Amino acid sequence: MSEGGLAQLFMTMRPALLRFLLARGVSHGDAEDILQDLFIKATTVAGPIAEPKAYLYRMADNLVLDRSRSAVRRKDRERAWVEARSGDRLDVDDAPSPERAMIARDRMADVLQTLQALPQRTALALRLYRVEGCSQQQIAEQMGISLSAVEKHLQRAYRSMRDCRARLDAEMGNLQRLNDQGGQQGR
Amino acid sequence: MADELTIMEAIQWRLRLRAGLVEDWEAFTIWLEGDPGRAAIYDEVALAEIDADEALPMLQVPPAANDDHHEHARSLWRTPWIGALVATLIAALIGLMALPRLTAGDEFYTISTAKGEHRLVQLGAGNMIALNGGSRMTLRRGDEHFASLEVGEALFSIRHNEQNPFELSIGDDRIRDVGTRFNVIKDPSSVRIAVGEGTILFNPDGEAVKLVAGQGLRRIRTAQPVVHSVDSSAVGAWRKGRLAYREAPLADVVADLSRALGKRVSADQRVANRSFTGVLQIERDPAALVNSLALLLDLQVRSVPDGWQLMPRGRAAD
Repeated sequence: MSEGGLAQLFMTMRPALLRFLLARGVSHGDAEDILQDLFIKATTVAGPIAEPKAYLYRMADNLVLDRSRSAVRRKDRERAWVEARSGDRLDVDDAPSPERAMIARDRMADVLQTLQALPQRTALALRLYRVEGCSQQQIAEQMGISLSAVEKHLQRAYRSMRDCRARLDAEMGNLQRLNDQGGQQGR
Repeated sequence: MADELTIMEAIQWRLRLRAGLVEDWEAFTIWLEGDPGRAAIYDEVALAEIDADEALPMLQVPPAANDDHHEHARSLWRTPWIGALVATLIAALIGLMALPRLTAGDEFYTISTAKGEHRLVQLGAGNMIALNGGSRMTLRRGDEHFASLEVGEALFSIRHNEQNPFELSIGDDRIRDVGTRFNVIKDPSSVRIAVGEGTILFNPDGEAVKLVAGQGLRRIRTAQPVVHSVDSSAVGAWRKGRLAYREAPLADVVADLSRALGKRVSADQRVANRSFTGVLQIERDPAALVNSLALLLDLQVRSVPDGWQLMPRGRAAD
């Protein structure tokens, strides 16, 4: 599909994409922003696209995920800034407090440990899927197992990954509350 | 609402949508609309996938089973992958990855980083090492209590083990750890240590200098080590792209900048001992960063191949 074609397709799909974004939990205002971004991206895509409609959905989904990620990062930055401002030494930068540095380190370590704890075949299926970019069918062929067995491996891997993320998010939330309370007492 | 069914469905959607057709996305939309809590669970799954994407390249891959030349290495590599006996090596947060080169036979191996590259190494269950750019470290397979920093900078986060304490060798110096987080910089002529948490012993069998959180040590060549205070919260801040100094000689600052920027930054010997206190944010444009450092110290910048040299102001470049 040509470049102009994708932008044109975007216009006809706009209502469906808006519905998707709202279902995706995005506020109406943010959804409009994302559609704006999406339109700009759609007009600048180079090369033909096999499934242009699915492609637009996928781009919209990725933009939502980008926002979720930068919202987390922004929260971290704001907190670091507030802590830096409340310090009285000029040479103290907004370096992470030891607790937060610890959390960040543990987060990565936990993700790594979660992946390492996966059964070997499950880990292999995940690696083929995410790192090598194999389709589930290709993984089945490469590992000599059925398609549904591949799905089971991937589901198990994703379940462990999601549980790890949910646990870390909960810990981060607790720390945030702890910091907020500490800040109030200090004033 | 993180019920089992929703989680499994969210995972199935994530897997299906990778190669999804427009009909799949429409069906997914209807699934999301079925319960307002589903979007958040799907978000968790998708973000966990991104976490895993960042972590996967750092995990060791067992070499292919049909690779005859690495028969011995394979048996060694496979064990950590299974996660049983041997300390596992994981590497690399940012930048390009390379599997660690095997050196000195099978027992020892070296991990090195290009300038500007960071790597994260996990040693055993509780020990983490973050390696800054332009650094080289040697580890011993199956030994999570040993590391040797040949050159460069690393941040160590070590879980205390009474029976078998972690020991770091830095050239001829040794550090014994007592459960801590500390940063080490090894340049050809000096060693700098800063402790963020806990306690370490510097050369436990020699000077036996005890360093606690908020203390640092500097040794130039074989001179007596000098202990000074550091900002414990800024220890290891290079990982966040920040370099914090308190009355540090410019020679140290430019060495750190070279590592961080992947450029050759040096100081003319007439100004190498100038003292610098402040914070440098290395995410900025390297040239602008070097210029602002020069401005702060009232120095002049000279371009050299692949970098800059800081010189006294008003002198012709010689």
